[in-house]
Amino acid sequence: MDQNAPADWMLRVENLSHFYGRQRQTPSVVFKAEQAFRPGEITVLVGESGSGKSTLLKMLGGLDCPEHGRMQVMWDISPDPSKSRHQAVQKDLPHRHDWLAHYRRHRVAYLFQDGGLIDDFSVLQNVLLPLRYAEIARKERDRRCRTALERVGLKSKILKRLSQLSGGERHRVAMARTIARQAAIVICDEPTAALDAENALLMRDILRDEAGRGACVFIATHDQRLMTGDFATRIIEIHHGIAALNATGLGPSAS
Amino acid sequence: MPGGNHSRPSLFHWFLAYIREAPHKLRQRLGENIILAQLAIRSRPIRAALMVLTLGAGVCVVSLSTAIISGFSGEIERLAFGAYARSLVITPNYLAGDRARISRLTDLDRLLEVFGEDQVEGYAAWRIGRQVPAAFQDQRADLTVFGVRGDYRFEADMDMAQGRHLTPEDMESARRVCLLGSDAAASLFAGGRAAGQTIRVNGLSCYVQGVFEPGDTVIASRFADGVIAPFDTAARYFMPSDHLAPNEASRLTIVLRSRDMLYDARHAADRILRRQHGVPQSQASPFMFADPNAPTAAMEQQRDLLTRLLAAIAGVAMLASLMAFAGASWTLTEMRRRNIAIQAIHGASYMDILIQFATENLILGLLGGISGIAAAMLLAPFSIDWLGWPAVFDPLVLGGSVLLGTLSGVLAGAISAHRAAVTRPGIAIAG
Repeated sequence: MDQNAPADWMLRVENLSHFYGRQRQTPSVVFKAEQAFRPGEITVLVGESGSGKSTLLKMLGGLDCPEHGRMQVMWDISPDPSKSRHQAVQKDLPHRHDWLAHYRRHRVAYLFQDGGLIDDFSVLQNVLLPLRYAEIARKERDRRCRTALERVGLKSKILKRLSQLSGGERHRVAMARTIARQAAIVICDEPTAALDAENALLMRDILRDEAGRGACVFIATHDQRLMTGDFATRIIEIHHGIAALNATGLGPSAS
Repeated sequence: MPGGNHSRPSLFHWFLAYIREAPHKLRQRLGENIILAQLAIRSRPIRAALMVLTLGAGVCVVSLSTAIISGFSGEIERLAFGAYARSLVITPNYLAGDRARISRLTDLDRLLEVFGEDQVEGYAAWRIGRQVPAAFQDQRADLTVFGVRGDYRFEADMDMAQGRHLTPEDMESARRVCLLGSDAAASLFAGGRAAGQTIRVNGLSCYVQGVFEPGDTVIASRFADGVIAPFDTAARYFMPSDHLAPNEASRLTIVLRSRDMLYDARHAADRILRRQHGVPQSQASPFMFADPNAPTAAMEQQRDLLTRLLAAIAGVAMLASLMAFAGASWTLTEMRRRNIAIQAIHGASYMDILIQFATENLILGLLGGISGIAAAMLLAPFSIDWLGWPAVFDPLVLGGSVLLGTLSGVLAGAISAHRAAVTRPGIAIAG
């Protein structure tokens, strides 16, 4: 099967690269060639610390603009990075900042190592946050929040402030937020690094469920348990910013 | 093209992108931004309260100063002269020697006829005598007798401590009734009730109809140790040795409707009175016209000085308050940098963050303005009672102060709101 066939992929990237430093001569991360990711795939990014996993995740998640290359999410194509904002406005094209904000708002869910939660908000408000920006109707988002919090066992703590929760419970709030979001693309940066065995298992299950729902899941991790063939659809190794596809056996979600 | 990648869109560009949304979506997003602003304020109540107090202190100083300036503006003139500041006061010009004339009641009638009601608010003809002996039982005092026809209350601008004012019928008659000044009543009645008693003035009985409160204007305080009686009563009974004829007055007072009319009225009065008394223009005027403008102008200079002083204090206080608010807003934004990044990661655009922070500052500014006004109104009675500073709150000034507080809050927080909005999520989330 041609993995780049338009009907078959959800996210396609094309020569993504990002530079650090003032000189901007040597790219820190290069995603060579064209890659397409299908719905239900779990892609694991592995590599040494500082190799560029998080940078690649940020580009895939729309947090950083790639210096070169393009991303295409279904029918949305990211604007050409070389076009200035004036050119974009003149041609009535979406500017890349707009595109990225729209992309983050409607396509992506994030799961961070530390949870990425707002401490001042309650459990409910944290889970609601991405749904507010995604312009989802009030009833629907309330239903999603309650279902997600029930899934992670926090329904009774819906109005608690984060400061009143334990570390494990905070991670579950982050998981609930990802579930409620129901995004097309799920980005996870070291999702199991700070979790105990029970929560790590729950996290694996949730990520597998997300893939089963049809999401495209990207995980940057050092956790060997996530690199197994029965979990990951493909593994991409990154060495000094260069991503190399290392196809593993197809995972259950992709099959 | 590495160079173009980091160019930041302008505010206008983001605004265009924001309003291009469908109206119902725009409303929804705007509503969500406002809800998030409220949540952010409620999640940090102590800090929000401190910011409100910071701005409120500045607004309080500004509104209280404005109220005091406004109060002083009217009060200085009133304390100094009351209605005298816009009164045409006519007395004999004794500097003219034997050509000096005494004004008559008919002169007053003629002047009132010429000026008309559109210029004249009130008038009085005064007959002021030397001190005469007065007594009640075994208490004795020397009191100044004031005979008056017309409305004496423009000059004797005092409330009644006891009894009532003289009626128009009293004023037109020669009934032996009188009003006592506060000091006169104290010296004859030693704190007892004077109204309704009969005293002896210049050896003749006189019914005390009322007693004045102490006067708080320079002019009113002249009546403190005096007896005010109807013009004819004073002329016939209490000033027998006076050299004035029965229809002659020591002083005529015409209260004009505006101080601006004084100059023209004085010249008109001079012409009329010269004609009445047959004094040509070539000779010195037989009458003197008091110029209340000169002392009033001096008072106004003092008021302007005070205004500038208070405005400077209020300005410095407001500036300090704004700087403190802006600093607190800035610090709070820096502290929330990670939260802002999280919001941006979950889809908040530049305009979303800007509107949320602007709304937060708007709410805090509005609360600061209202609390500042409330504090000023609470402090105003103390300023009046303890310091003797009058404070007059104008609804326009109050509204302006709330607006000032709100705008100041928004402006002071605008930079921090912009900084928050341009935070790049990828960098901010990394710390």
